[in-house]
Amino acid sequence: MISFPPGLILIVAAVLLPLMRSKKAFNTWALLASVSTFVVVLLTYIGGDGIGDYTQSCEYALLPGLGDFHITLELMQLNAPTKIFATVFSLMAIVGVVYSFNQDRRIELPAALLYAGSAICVTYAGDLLTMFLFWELMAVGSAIVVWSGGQKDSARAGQRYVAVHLLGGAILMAGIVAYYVANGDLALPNSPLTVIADGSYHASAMVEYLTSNNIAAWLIMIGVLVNAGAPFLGAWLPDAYPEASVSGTVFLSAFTTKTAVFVLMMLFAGADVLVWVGLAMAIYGLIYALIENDMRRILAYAIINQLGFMVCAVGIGTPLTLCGASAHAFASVVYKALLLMAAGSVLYQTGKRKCTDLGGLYKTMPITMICTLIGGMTISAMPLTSSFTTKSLITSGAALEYELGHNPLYMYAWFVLMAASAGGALYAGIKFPWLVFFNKDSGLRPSDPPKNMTWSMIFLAALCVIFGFPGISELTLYTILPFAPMVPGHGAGAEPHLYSTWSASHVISQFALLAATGFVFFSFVKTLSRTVTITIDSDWIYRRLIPSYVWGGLLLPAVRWLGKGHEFLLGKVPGMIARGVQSDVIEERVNKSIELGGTTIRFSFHFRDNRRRDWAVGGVLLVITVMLFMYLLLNFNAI
Amino acid sequence: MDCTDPKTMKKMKWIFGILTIIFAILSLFISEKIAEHGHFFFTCCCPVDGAMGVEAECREVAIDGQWYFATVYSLLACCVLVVVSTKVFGPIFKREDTYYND
Repeated sequence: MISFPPGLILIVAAVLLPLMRSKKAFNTWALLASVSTFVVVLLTYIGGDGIGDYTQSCEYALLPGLGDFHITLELMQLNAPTKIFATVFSLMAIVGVVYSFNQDRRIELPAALLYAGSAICVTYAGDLLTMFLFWELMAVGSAIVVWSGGQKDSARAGQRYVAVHLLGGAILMAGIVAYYVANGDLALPNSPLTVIADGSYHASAMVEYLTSNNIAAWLIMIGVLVNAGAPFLGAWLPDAYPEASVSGTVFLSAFTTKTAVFVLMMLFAGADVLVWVGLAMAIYGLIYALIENDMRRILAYAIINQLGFMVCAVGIGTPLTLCGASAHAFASVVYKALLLMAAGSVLYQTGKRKCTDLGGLYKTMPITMICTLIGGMTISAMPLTSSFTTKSLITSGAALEYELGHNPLYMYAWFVLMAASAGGALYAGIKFPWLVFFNKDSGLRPSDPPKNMTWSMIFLAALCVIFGFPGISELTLYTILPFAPMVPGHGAGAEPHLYSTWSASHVISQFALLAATGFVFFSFVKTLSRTVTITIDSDWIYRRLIPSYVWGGLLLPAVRWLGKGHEFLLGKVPGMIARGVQSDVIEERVNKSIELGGTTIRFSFHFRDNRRRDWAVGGVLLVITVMLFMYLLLNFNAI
Repeated sequence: MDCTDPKTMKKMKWIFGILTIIFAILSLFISEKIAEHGHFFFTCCCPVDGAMGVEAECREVAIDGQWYFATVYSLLACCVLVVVSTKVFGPIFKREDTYYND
């Protein structure tokens, strides 16, 4: 029986790793820790009886001065979606470590392990406070990963990242406190839904409470959506991720946003507002990915686009869509890491990340190019790739809810998701590989990256394909989903059966969708041509609007004007008053002479009226007079 | 292979165009239920008991219609997305490369 959250192994390793002096020992211990974590994650659910097998309570007296105020931290609870999330997180820790082997990342790698370990611990949290503590620890680890990126803007991007996450964390904490005040308990149920044998289901009490409109729910949801990269809250993602190192971005892509999906699933399954937030994310990420020039920013927006599918699925909140969100989180962690590894390899080998500086790399980087194409095909949900199954679980779930008449608005959700799916194929499946590896030859002739980076990419590409084979997902992914993905049976009285994506019509129509996307891309290729530009996002508010316009254009001149007013009020006015009172004596020259043995020594003293002293005293008196007058005015009615 | 050659681009456009038509026709054949009922995904179907049991005929039509419709819809959606993002949002959100470095 495993009585501790497996992520703790990585957290302890992160603390000990800096003690390793040689690079070999450093890498070996990092790999050992991540492999051990993966094995322990598997042990927490293989052989167990199912969800909620293990609970480890640690009772701490917080604020002991308050007598009976105790909070129990449930560090280890096997929640319904934990299996799939913890498995893919620990897998990514291994692949990320291997990918970073050739780079001497003495600060980044321990921070990345701390980050990965905390993310895994969030998935095993049995109460809101434990979840929050590891959530914040995750922010610390990820901020250090961004800071140690070594890119031109890493330090500033890291500062902005920390500021946004501190704000998000504060909102989340406020929501948790409000929830505690209202309910007197922070325990998390181990599943957002209880599914009954006949296929019907009901939400947990906590989910029911949080999906109703109350202040705690809104604060918690906003706090989590900051990490999920929702529109207007998620500009930190394309701002910070591309500024991390080539290996750092791979770690970053896997944990923060997917942990947010996990928490949304645990707390807000079925919250209608998330359907629309998810759709907005899918379209917002898509539009920015289409007009962006920086290859790593394209992929950062691709993360938001794909998260839109998961958040929407959580909002629909049926067992089928929650399975879709979990399975798609698994698939997207893998293919997104693959694409970012490929982009990182290009950056590592060429030092360039803008599409305008790249092109024609297929000649000398064939393995990277093939891996990118596989990643692109997977994000496009091409048959025989993992995403074909996982994305279909979500879209079919939305369609089924419409068909069953539960919510007619889900028809629109299905329309938008299909458009976002086609768009995803457009920017990541075709545009990204086309601009980086094909298109106009940039004259660059880099080779494929070092072996550890190449093999990491090959491994992830293989996973994308293996999980896409008919039957493989059913044998593997389906067994670690939070619920069995069941759909109604055909015919009257037919039993519900496991969802299968492999129907002839689905396969052919998916190929038709991809072919149509290719046709549109090559028809509009001039419109999609590269420009040496950046795109402004909602981070413009705190990068340009507040510093340049609000502070520089409005507040600073106002402060200066007030300063001048202050100088006038405290400087000239009292002086003028003083001069009016003693205008006769402002300056005095005193001449003295002493006779010493026939010699006359002359002294000349020059006294100047200390106006500042007069002004200061006068100014203070003036201010006090004005304040007393204002006080009198303000309290006149009361008197 | 010169990927920027206009002839290559035209060839690619033809390849994908023909593929689109082939798959669209194929999906039409497969979606034979549509021919029988003349229904698309968004115009048909009715819930029976509100849970998992739904009339089989009704659901099959809906599912087939869904996949058939995807072919035409994806073409339109992609065109709209490209035009809207490049022609509408591009001019609004694109800035000089050194915008934040000023």
